[in-house]
Amino acid sequence: MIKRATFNNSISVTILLVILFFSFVPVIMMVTMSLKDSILIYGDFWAPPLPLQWSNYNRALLDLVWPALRTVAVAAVSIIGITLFSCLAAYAFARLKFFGKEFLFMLIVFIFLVPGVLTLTPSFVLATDLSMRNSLPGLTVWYIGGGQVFAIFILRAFFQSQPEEIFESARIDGASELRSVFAIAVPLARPILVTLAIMNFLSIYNDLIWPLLMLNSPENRTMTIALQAYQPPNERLPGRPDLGVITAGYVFASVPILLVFAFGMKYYIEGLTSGAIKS
Amino acid sequence: MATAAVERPAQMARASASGKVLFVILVVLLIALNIVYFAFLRPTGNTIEATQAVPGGKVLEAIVLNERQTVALTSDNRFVLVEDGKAVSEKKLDKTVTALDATPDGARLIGGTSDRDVIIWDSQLNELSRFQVNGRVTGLKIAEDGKIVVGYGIGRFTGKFWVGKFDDQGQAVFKKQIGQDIATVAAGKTASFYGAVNGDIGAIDDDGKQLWRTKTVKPLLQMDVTADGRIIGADERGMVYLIDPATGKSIWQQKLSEYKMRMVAYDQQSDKVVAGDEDGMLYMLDMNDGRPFYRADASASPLRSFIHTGADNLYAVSSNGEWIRINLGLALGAQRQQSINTLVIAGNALLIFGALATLVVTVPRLRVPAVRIGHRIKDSRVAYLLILPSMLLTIVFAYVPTVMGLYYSFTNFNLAEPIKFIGLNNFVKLSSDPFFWTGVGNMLLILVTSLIKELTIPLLIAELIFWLRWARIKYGMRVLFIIPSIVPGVVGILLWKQIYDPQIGLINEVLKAMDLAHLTRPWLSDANTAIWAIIFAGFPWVSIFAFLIYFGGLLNINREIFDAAAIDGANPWRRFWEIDLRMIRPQLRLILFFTFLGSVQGYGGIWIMTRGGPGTATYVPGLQMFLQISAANFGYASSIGFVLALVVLVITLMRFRFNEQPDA
Repeated sequence: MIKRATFNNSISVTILLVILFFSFVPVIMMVTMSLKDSILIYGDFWAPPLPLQWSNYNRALLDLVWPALRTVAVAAVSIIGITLFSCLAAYAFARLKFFGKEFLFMLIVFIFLVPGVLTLTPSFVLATDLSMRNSLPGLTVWYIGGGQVFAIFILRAFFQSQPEEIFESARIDGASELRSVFAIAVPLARPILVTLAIMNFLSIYNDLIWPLLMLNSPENRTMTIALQAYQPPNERLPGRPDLGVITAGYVFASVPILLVFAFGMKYYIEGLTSGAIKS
Repeated sequence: MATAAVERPAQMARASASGKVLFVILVVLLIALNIVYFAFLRPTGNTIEATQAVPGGKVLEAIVLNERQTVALTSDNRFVLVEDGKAVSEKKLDKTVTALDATPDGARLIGGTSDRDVIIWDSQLNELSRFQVNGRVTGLKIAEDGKIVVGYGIGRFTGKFWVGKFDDQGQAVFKKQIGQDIATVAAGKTASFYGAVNGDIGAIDDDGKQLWRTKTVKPLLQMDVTADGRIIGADERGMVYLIDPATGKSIWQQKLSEYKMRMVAYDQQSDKVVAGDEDGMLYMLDMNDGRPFYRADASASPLRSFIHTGADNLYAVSSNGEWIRINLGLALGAQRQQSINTLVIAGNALLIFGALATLVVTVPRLRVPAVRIGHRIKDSRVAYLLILPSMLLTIVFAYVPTVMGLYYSFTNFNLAEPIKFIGLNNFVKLSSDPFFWTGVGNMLLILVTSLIKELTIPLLIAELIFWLRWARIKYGMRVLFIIPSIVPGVVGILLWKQIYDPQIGLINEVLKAMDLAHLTRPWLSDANTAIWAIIFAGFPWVSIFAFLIYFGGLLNINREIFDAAAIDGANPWRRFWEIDLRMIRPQLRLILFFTFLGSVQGYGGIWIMTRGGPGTATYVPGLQMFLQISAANFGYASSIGFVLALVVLVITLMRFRFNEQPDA
């Protein structure tokens, strides 16, 4: 019996390893290419990346560091805005009784049903009318506005699951509602907040279409726009882009996500597997 | 408040009594206002009447012969004689007439053709004579002295254009070459005027001397001369000018419309300028300052020709042959009527509000809940403050665009022409748009394959890892699978684009290394493989999001169920189908739903890989919408978004219905 289980497990591991190998192929390709001289990439595709061409990273970093910082800044401010406002609203919807609550929450539910494809065109027109185009603050405000509804949904469900007694005793102790939010509700919701922040970071950092429409000058380019247009010239092979530098740029672009995962992976996995993001 | 009422019954009774009186007064006023309005102030009769007078073909121009008779020239080269708004006879022409005018007495009709003729007809449309000029006629007017002013020329943008004045036999009084293509001419008392396609206007006297030359903001399309010899012009961006014939200086200019002004004429009867635009709006302008004192949506098609004003009526002809009569008495009263209507509506609203307010205050049964609501709103102010920022953001950045999008879907909104409601035209156009249907086909293909991808591999991995017995390997595997997902989505797509590269891509290199060079191809730029290459990208499709959701689902299954199954002797295969799959059904539905949303609404990857090409091989509707936005066709783009949104909405609602049902 034990032997049979071991055998089954070994088969599972083998299958998993095969799948793992294939999903690592692009990553391996990216890393090896990024360390190769571009002449070598064009000349002998399968040659090992020797000698290691670290200068690829110097060039990629110089070109892409500003777009990367810009995007991280936009994402950070957006996440703060989304989290702050949606916490306040979600708390009110979850914990307070007020006139028109059902109606106002229906407004939120209703807009949650409106898909992004419908609002893309008018958002572009509205952003133009409000002179928000080609400005990073404009982009940020838009992300904050767009992130509210989903965050309110998730947080409201979470706040509702918190025991009422804590808030009751806080109220008896004379704590204001604002204090209840930030001293009780929010700290208890940390895992879900981190999960939300990571989800927002991933979607903002990876967003392509909206920045493509919003931003049109090079000094405002976000990471995705900079990357898809990244064609550093190849000094020794004129007319062909330097693939080594390009892939070094790709590796560099992965660093912020690596950092985010390194700090928040535990919460992220917990958030997704706990079933908080279910409906 | 309720206790107050008990304490001071006398006061309340008094207030109640006077409230009743006030209520009755307000209701009486309300009734009186509406009786007065419907009896005396209501508009009667139709201001605008249109009849189809000229059958078939588009009307290029209509010219008055006399009180009763008008000749319309159609685009298929017919003259149609119209009497009292009805076509009575017609005559086929052997030439394409491009410009037409009639003598003031209506005895002769003179036209210029596209192949150099000037033809003279009598009022019965019998040809009297013809002569030739040195080019295609682009403008023709009859001067007071009976001579004919003709603008004509050869080719386009050649500089070979002339303004000439001729007698009936074609003897030239003068011919003057103009450096620009002539668009329109006018005949004044002492000079002839022309407007050119570059915006030049000029005056030439009978000796062929250029008196002056100047420019308008946009090129003129039509010109006319007033009774006192001043020039009226209308340009292609909705502007009308009154121009001093001695100097060419503009006396006034008036922006009326965003559309081309197809018609402008001086009306002797009323001493007004009558103008009409491409959109069918008709304007009457004051001669002193050009102020439009009347405007009306006279037709759905461009207004072509102003006929005349009669005792009460104004007549015009639209390009699809409508005979339009405007009752001027009513029309000029229309502005007054507008303000009366506004006042009546405002008065009604005020009186009704006043009456209701009185009612609420007077009747205790209404007053009590009203006061309670007021109190509750006041008590809720903390909650309102908390939700205020979110609500404001949601309204501005979600509700406003939604409403705009719904509206734009039914308009022609783009940057080339003014915004206009066009009903279902966008959707009709979309239903026969081959790009759209190609896109729908591709979208369905991507949808089906994505569902398969998201439902198989991540589930397989979740199952295999979940049932591993070695805890450390189990944990290690979970982490290992997450590592490739630190590559940002855009980078992942760019890497796959590189993998498909025809010259230096991984796939072709592998094929070459395996001696299968004949199988290599430019995967993304071959119309046969492009869409499949896009679908295959991301192999082996380990979606980390789906994996974690499934894994979480498995974790949440009660262990006892598994133990019971083990005791019953269920093998892993049966357990998978009968327990695992059933228990994680909510997770499967969630991923199904997200995959659906992503497939219908996602197109960023396709944009990076192929831009929809080669040709339209990888078009999807979302991408088409994006490209339409980039081309500033906002109306059409919105209608594509509208259709996609409808699809998404139906599925979303189905999902919510489905979720309400128990899982059994």
